[in-house]
Amino acid sequence: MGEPGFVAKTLLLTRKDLRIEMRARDTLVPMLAFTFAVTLLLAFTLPTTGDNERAIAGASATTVADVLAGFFWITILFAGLVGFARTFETEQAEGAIDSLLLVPLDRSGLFLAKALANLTFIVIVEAFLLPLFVLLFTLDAGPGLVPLVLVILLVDVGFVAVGTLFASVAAQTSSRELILPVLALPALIPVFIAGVDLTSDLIAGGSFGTLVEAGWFGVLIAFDVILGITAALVFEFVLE
Amino acid sequence: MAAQPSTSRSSRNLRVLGVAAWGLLGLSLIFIFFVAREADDYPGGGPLQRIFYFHVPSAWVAYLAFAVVFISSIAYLRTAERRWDLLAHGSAEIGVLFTSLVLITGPIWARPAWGTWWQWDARLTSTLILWLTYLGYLFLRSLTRDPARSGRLAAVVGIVGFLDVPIVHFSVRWWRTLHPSGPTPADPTNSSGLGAGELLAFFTALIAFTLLFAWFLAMRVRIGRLADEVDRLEIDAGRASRVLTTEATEVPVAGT
Amino acid sequence: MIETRALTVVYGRTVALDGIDLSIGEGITGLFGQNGSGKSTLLRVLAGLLRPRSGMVTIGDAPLDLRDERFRRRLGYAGHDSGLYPHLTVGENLDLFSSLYGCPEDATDTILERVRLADRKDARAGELSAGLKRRAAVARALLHDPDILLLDEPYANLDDDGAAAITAAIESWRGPGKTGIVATHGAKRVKAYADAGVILTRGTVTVAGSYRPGGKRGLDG
Repeated sequence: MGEPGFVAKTLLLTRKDLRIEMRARDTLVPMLAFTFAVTLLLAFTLPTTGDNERAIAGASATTVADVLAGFFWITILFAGLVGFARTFETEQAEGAIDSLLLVPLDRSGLFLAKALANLTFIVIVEAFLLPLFVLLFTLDAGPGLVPLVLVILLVDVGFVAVGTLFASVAAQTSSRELILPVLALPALIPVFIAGVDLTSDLIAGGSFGTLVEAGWFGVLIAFDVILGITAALVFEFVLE
Repeated sequence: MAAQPSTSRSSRNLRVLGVAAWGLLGLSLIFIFFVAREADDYPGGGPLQRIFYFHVPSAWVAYLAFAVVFISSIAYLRTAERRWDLLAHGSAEIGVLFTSLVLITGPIWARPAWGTWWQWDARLTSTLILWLTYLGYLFLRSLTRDPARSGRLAAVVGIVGFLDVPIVHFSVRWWRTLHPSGPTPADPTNSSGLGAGELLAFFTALIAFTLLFAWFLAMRVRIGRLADEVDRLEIDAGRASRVLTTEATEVPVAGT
Repeated sequence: MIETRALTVVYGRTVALDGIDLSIGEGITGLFGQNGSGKSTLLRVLAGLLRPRSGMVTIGDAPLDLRDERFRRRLGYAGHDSGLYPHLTVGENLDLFSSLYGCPEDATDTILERVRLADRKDARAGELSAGLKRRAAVARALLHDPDILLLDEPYANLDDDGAAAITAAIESWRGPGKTGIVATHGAKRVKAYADAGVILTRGTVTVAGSYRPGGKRGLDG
């Protein structure tokens, strides 16, 4: 039997992480619980109207869209950081990280595998949160849904790249839960500003074409490409 | 370890640098208050406008410092040489110091000039994010005791943080452009309208601040080296005391 | 042939290894010393998992380079912990590493047979007793039939049967071109089959020599 290539080995490791998560349920389940609790709290804070036209009393459609987009991404941001902090937990539990570091696979493969697992987690959280927003805030993306999904995925790539890298940094220190947000939040600001703005315009009924022209996609793609590649390259120095 | 002659030469250079930096800073104060008379005509009066001469050079030094962190971090990851790590660490500390000065002097000027302490303007916001990023960098460094590991982790953050800067800047600019709220502040760093006296004062201050940065950095690296030397001596002292107490252990090799 | 020159490792202000000069030849070398003598640290450096403060390691004729994937393929290492994923079964753990190394399909079963752990294949690694965990860890290190084997305390927590299984697995692994280092604080079990021995005392080599008089010198230093 031949030795698998880079991609096959990477996917093997991602599958391993997902399988472990299915058994341990100590990353995704807390992320979902966190997401649900935060969304409920947000719902309580909003002054809602009786009718279901728009969920916030006395606010214009654009304001509602701004607020909901902000809520959505702040919830995702913190749910993601809660989960990403645990990225290397299973590796460090019984020293499996040493076994993994010795495997003939480039370090960027380890990074990609971990990032793919985190991407899976965050996409599941979003697939849970989006309908929840429709339900609780009568959010109506309508024809903007497909571009919205594209925006969400573009944000996710940058988020997961930076989140996974800084989670690996945090895992090497004595206070990993604390240092991850301290490092990741400032770095993630551009990708989340872009995400909030695009999401808000899409749910307010903005057209895809004008958004592309506004340059936000440029910010997202630049962030994803520059920080994604950098993260994969510098990762090896974190785990050395 | 360090050769004596080079140490004394470098400490002489350091002294020359320090004298030059502080001397020029003194000179720039004279220029700022007595040569740049044009500033007196600005609305809000002369003293207020003169914050500019400290604010802008501080911002320049901050960006310069973080660029040094970026380059030294790359060099450290490539070579694993301690000096690059000392350089990155020192430069990050000085960068945070000067970013703090920017964030303090800015609002002092903005309150009377704009009528508000703070604007979510692109430049202000990206400076604030920069400050947070490198505070995180310094916090990370304080968490790990092993110098090699601390250096590697910090270098990763230093590289990613700096690459983030232009994206932060563009994103914040677009963010504001899309949501124009309140007055757009005049660009305080636009020096094209400055008179000759002001330009003289400004560039003297700029050079003085840059020299000050170089002097701080050289001092900081020197202190880092001395701290390393102390560590080395303590390790050697520990070794020496251990040799005296080494006792024989079981000798399984003696069999055969 | 594994050689170290002036190898020094410092944790904070504690010198864990202090100028280690060793050359370790083919066969199995026992690495002895009390807890804290630097055995684990030395093995981690030899595995490339820990960068020494100074000094160097050469494997064959080339300096140790963990980035070199060919070197990693030749190396088997079982550290202080089991090196396994507690939520996966023993079989899943070994199958994962077997695929990553490109081992033959029956590699997992063969190695489990060898450490007499075949009946625990479907048990979660995290639920094994400490002794069984050690055996699973050694099985993982031996899985891809490495040329260089580094074992840290493989006999910890083992009863006589378990120890015999480990010894048998090591014995069937050894052969021409194979170099193994087995670290242990109780020398008895390893002495029985080792070709050479090294004693570490507080980070320095106090004794090093071959058990085979007149035979090929396993080490000098």
